[in-house]
Amino acid sequence: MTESGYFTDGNGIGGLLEEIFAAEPTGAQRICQSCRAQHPTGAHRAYTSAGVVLRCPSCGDVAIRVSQRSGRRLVEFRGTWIFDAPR
Amino acid sequence: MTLPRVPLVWRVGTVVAVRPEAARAKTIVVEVPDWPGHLAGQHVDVRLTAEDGYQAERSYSIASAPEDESLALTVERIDDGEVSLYLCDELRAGDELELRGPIGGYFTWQVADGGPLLLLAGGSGVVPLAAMLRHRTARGSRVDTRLLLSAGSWDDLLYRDELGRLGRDGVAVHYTLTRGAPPHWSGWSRRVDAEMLREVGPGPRTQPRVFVCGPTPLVEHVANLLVGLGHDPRLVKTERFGPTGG
Repeated sequence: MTESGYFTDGNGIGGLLEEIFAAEPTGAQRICQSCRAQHPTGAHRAYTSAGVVLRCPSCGDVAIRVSQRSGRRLVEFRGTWIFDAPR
Repeated sequence: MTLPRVPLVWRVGTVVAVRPEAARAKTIVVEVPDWPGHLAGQHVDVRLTAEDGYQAERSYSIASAPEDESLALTVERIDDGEVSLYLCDELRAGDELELRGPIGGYFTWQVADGGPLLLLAGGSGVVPLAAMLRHRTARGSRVDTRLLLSAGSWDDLLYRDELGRLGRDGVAVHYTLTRGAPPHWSGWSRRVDAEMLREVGPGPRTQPRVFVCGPTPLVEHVANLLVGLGHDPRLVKTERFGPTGG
């Protein structure tokens, strides 16, 4: 993860999240199920290895977990997600 | 202005120029058919496909202003990088480049959002901030703008000449060089600290829009300092690169 421009936050995985949500995701607010802090998705921390895990920037609990294998994608959400997007 | 919603699809662009930007960085100018436009601060995903079908994907900030004719990316060359080595060493004008975007609506600024504007970057984190500055210039905005750029050395600084000219447009540009400064250096040569941020200003009372971009440790360090100084965390927007870099 030393490649320049290879972000490690919700902005950097914005393309992947946009595929999942079909809406601009980085400005979406999320309320953490653990600490109740509210942050934009873009401000969350992203950890990328075999899959992607997005974590709350306040407490580190999981916000979204994406695993991909053999042409399939498994997505698990946690917390409250608030989107404000044009229809 | 909000851009019309366009499905995020992979597009094949044509490289029109690759030019050196600093000791270890290149700017890639690419013509993308049906490019939907972008906001300053957004990025694209770039995808390389090897002959055997292996694919590697990375995100790169857009360096050009929305008003510019062509899309420009600035890529820092990372010695053990996979995608950046190809982009910096192999890519030539006339080559095709596959990308999708624009991506992101959080780390963006447009003139209508107002200011004051406080831009803080480490290393190549200046790229999306350069897009904001270029947008500001293109629109003739005089919004109070301060830029603090932290880099290893003088040779690592991106857009040095261009940033040097921004003073005329009312942008206060500050540098700190953390791994050695040239002789007669009048800027800072230490890690960003609270005293430095106080000097750069503007203070929290003016409620500046703050954008911090760079390697993760720098971004978290600077964002914590800003909140400690009294800035509203909701106005401090961050974008992190990998754990190293700069």
